[in-house]
Amino acid sequence: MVRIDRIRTSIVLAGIFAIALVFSHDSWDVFRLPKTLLLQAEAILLVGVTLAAILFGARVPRPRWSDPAVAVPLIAFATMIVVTITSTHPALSVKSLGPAAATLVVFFATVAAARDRAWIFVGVPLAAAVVNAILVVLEETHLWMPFGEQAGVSHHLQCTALVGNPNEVGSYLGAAALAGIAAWPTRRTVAPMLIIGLIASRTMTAMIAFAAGVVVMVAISSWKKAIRAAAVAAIAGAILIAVVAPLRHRAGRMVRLAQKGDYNALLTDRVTPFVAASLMFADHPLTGVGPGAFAWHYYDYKLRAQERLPSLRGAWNRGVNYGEVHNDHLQVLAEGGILGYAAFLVAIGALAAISFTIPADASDARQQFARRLAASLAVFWLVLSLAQFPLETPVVRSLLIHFAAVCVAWRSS
Amino acid sequence: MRVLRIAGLLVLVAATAYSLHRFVLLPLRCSRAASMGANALESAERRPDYDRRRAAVSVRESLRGCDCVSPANVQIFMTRGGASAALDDHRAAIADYQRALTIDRRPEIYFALGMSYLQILDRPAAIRNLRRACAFDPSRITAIPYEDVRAEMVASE
Repeated sequence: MVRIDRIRTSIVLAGIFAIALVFSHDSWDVFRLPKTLLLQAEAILLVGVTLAAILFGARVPRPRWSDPAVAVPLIAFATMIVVTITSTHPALSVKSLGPAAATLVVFFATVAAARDRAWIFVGVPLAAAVVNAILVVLEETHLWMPFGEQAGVSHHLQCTALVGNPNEVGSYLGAAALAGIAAWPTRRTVAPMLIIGLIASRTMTAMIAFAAGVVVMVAISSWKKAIRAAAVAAIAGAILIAVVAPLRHRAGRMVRLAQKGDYNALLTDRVTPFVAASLMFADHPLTGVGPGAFAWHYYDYKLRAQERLPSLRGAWNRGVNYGEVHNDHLQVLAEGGILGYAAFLVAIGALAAISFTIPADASDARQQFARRLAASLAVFWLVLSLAQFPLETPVVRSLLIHFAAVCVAWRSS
Repeated sequence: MRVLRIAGLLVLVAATAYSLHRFVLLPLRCSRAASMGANALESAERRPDYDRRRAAVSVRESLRGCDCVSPANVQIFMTRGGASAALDDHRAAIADYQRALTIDRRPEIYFALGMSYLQILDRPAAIRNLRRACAFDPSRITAIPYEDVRAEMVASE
């Protein structure tokens, strides 16, 4: 049984490491599909290993249904099944259940494996994150472009590391940097590299979400320190914007757009998908249009959004068919309605609550890590979801779920 | 008891192997085939007719067995539709484009569907699909090679 446990741990660790690095160069979808498939492979192997263990005499796992760490993910998945049944496009929504089920399996396997282990569950994903942080710095500074460079596409958009587009890189490194900060008392080398990578990705939302997460992390121990940390973060942010040329240019552009009243351009031309998602929610408030159905419905709702706001017809991305809202709050509302959004908020709330269930004077370093990270990761996730889509990005979702599972596993000594 | 366990383990190994093939390897193979196929069709456009048709046959062959991959991949049906269109098998192309539309609706799919309907002389269906494509992305009007159809799109806009 110890061998099966080791196999399971190895699969979990290999999965969280490899998902940050795997890609398929000769595929149209270079990053997202291979990572989704890797997650599915990981889940299949975990189920296979667990069943094999039971076949050879291992105890059948008996979950404590009253434990929020068990109940909340299962309720979230059950909610997804309900909104799939009521979906406006069941065939698409059923196919969305696969990655969701895989995520659930990996979550529970990570909780089980991390219970008896320590810093390897932090070190392995952060090692993969460091590789990506170094890579994005090399790309942004024009030192090395591992996938070559395409003419006609801006250099910044091609700085993908091994994660995906720059927004996904920023989201991923933001979450990793937060975990690096939470591990700071025992592991100090990693966080600075990840923060540099986060800044290099130039993803404003991820940087703001990271700053919010750090403030919450400090607030867990002291509100006064948190206010000081917020002030320091604001000053550091202002200095960064002044010193780092691309950030300075972007900030200047945002000020000019705000003065002109061009709010669509200010929001990087995302008002159309925002309005389309809102209209979908308005038409299907209880259960939404169904998981995975936003992209399919976008075609008609985009035209309705342009009827509501004719100025959107002048947007440069008028011909772009958005696959995601670029705001997970609106995406969940559009695809899952009030039911889906409530499940999302309950899950995030359950994660945040872990920080407040661990005593401030806990002597176990792992418990202290969970106490620092849980609430800050929840706030990071909520803020990031205002302009990014971590739930739809396998690598970001996997990292968030991994650290959420580690927090669950380490909440008790 | 031991024999039962071994038999159970064999079934489990077979089920795991099948699941990995069905939900990991097959979608990956099909995605790569669709991507490489689209590139092959694009580069074959400027080549002689025989080369173009040979490339299209090869693309269709490479996408055999890719109908039910999960997660659903619209590129598979778009590429296969393009290959069928290159072979002048426009009814097969229409079937694939319509299948693509059940996964994702994009102006380029409606546009290709409209062009294929024109080839089989179903003008009302062609206009309907081209109109949908141009309503979403008006810049596509200029890509319509037929002046009368283009004029009808401009008039309806």
